[in-house]
Amino acid sequence: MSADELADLVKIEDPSFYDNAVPIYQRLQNEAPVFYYAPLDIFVLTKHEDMRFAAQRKDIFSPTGGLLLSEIMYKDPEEAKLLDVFFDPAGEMFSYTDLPRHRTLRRIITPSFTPRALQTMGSELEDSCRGLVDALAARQRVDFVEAVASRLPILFASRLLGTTSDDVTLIRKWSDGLENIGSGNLSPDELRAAAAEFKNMNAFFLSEFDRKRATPGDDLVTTLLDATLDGEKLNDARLLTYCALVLAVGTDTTRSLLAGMAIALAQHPDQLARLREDRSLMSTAIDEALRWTTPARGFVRTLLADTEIRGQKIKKGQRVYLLYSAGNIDPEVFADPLTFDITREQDIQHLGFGFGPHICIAAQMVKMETAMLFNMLLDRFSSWELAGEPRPLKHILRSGWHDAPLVFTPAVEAGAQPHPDLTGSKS
Amino acid sequence: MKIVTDLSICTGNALCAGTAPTVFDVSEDGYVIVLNEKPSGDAEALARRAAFNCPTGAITIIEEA
Repeated sequence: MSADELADLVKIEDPSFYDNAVPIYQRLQNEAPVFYYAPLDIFVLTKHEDMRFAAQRKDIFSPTGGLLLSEIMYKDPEEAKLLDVFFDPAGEMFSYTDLPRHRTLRRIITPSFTPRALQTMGSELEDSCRGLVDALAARQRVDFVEAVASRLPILFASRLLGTTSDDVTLIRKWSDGLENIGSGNLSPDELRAAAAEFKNMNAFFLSEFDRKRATPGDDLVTTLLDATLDGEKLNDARLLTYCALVLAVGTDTTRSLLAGMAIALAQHPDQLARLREDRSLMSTAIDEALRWTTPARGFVRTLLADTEIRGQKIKKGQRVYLLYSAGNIDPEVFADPLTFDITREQDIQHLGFGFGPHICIAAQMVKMETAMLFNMLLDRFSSWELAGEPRPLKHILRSGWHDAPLVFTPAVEAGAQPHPDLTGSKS
Repeated sequence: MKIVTDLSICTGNALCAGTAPTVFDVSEDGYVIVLNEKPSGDAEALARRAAFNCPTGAITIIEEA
């Protein structure tokens, strides 16, 4: 009987389902941790351990049948074809490939995300970050998403790629267009509009490739132009696919994390104060914000062989949905999972970056970026609080916010260093 | 205990170096480097955590008699 009720409650392809999904996640974990969701012919996994297993065993759980719920929702072949405008199949996006090809394709850009590579970019990135923090007005309402969370990831990605455009608004438009196609609530016309916008992005990158061929730099575009695959240089389709992946896929996820951490700290002023006093907690605080926010709610896999999870038989060709946002509140892994706790030691890591060979390639970069930003915010401000209710995105994949109205209080107590701009910021 | 790594499945995403920086590093070309094969104390505990959380299972802890 309760299984019947769950069947009525679970609607993973409905963006509104995620407005209040936590009680349903908990029921799924207790009553049906491998839940067959008939409308999409997919098994929904909600236990952390099961998702670790599925994400790591690429020999059984393949990404080639689609990664996003939106991809398996667009059953109309015309709509499905529109997605090819975003990612030319000839670009062979590595996220969608099986081993060993996945490793070969991903390895081309791995060195650009190592801690060493990130260190060489450090000072430039600090300048970008400080610029945004310095521009924040104190003692008045600011939209943190607009002012910081949407901008910083684009500045980081642009530096990583080595692209010239500092037109954050333009790049954000492209990034938003890509995010929208995964939202699960676009009409065919809206899809076409997003596709048109994506063509502009590709044109921008093609001109950047010409520029970098003439003037190489210490950046990812130069690395891609130098790289060889199967004995050949990368063609334009491959180059564009890598760049789109970095710029568009990487930026909106980080925006969610930065906004999520700022909001959670505003809602927990005691923890904000504690983090400000003890910056050694920054690392566990960021992992907690990743767990708390889970910017990517989940990913799809298709079975390459019959298997069994918790006694549930799943056949070759059937799909599973790794619902990371549920795994990140699994009480078997996280004590008091609904409590935000910046001191939480995660012996078993959250799934905020995913797991297995597909784990977020930029995980260290994201952590570095987040630590840099929040250290600067905590230097300049003693606290911040919500000045209104942040509006959550309606999106089946992305957990995030349209805006986050905050009011920052400048640090003024003895020993703190008030920012010089503050003196003239309020008349 | 002793740490053994499998570079053929390492993704080089450096979560291990973030968790246990005195035990693991990642090379310029993106492969795990073991700085201390037999850590003890706090470093051992962090190394075990890093091994358990390695996304591809490229880090194995071998218990020694």
